[in-house]
Amino acid sequence: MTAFTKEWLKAEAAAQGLALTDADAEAIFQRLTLVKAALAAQRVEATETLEPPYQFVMPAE
Amino acid sequence: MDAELCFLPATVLTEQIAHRRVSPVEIVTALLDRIDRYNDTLHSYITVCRESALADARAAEREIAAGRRRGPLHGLPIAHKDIVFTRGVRTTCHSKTMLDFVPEADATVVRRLADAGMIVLGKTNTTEFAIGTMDLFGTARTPWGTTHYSGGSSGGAGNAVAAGLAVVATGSDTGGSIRIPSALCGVAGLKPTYGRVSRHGVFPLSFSMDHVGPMCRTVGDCALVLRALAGADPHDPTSSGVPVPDYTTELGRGVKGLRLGIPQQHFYDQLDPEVDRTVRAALRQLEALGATPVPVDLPRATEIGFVGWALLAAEAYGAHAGRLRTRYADYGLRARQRIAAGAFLTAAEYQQAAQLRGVWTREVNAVLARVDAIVTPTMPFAGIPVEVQNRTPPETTWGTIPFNLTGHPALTLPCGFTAAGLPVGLQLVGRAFDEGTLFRIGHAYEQSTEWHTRRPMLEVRA
Repeated sequence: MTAFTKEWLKAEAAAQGLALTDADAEAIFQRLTLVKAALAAQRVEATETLEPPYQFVMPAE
Repeated sequence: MDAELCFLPATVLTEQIAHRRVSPVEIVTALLDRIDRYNDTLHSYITVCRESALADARAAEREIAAGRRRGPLHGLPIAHKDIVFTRGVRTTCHSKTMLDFVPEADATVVRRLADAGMIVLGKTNTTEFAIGTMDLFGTARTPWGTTHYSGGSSGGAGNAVAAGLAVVATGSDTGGSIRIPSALCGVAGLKPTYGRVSRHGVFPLSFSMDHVGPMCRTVGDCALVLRALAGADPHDPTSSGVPVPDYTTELGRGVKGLRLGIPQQHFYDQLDPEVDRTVRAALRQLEALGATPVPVDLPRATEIGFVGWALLAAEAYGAHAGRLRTRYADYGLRARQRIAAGAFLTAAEYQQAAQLRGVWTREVNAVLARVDAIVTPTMPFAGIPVEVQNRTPPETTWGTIPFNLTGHPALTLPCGFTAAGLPVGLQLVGRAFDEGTLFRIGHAYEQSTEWHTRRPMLEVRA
């Protein structure tokens, strides 16, 4: 998997047609570094479950 | 007298209209006068529908006089958040890219309230696309201290209701955007269950976390308005066909015997001391009314905010990708940075976040199987100075976004004030489609306190 670096972020922005400024890239990089680390730290051990992972709409009782 | 009229709850105004003690024209005129006086200070409205509101009020007056009253909302004014599409009325989303956008059709919520006889008073201020700043039309301020931010994103709705510039308003809530401004402005606001209210015609931010709901002076007003807003909509496939009850019948049932879950993690940690004292006093009041507090565990609560942030950013980017490519420079700094961040999350990370959402939802459902509602502070602090908000905004979705992730209904209502006179919000979270129990608890608390009757002292800024 590609490492998350500022260089990758800038290249990906260009590939997606986003005109990020340097300040934008820096702010986004700082924020996403925290988010990606938090997601990785909480990784669900079993990725295969009987339930759909998208369980946020619940039936009425 | 006119100012008195502007602070009456919808449940009172509807009775007065029914008995011809007040007319829709008087109400609309009084509100327009206050908007003229205070909008430059509070930045509540982006667009005021003066002529059409007066014309619609006269029409409502004629219909009601002729014995054709449509129901309890007929003749009452409504203010819509400016991301809610209104046919023939400019809908800017507080964005440079939409300054001239005039929708050709109403959002479903607009149509439903119009069918119920409500009169569109105007379009309220919002942060840019419900995620950025309020640079173009001014930063909305809480009427309890106009050097302080109203909260967002539905800040114009919150401060308009609080200041008597609206009776009822619509808001949208993706990470807390109904509940946060409601708390900071001292009004009641409901994020309904996901699927309870159609989002058709409401500019999307995050399709799996966007909710539309009422912001009102009282809990009873929220109950009254939700009944008209709710229900299945063929234009919104995520809307639910679960029957819509008459929520107002729940209001007088009291809280005796209800079990209230008090989370032992996250929600009561690191609170501002005044918020802590105020919320704990509210818990004691609910206990005195007959409810039973029950300690509950929600161990994932502390970390779940990142999951919400990841899903929100990814989905917001999905909604904005095309516009961002062509109009990037026309986005405000904060909106574009927050939205564009979604471009750099991987599919695996999105799926990871969705799985964590499922785990968290089951955790909350397990708690709600044991208690009737969960009670938390809406926010950990009571006010945000405008200059702080504009320079380095604090994290505000701390107590709210966890329930955007799960879709559970969540109501906020005022539960006191700080020494500086800023309101504190109490959040009640219920089972899916059980808004009725939240109204029951909120109304019982409200009736036993006087917070909702307080009025801000406003001065016109030079």
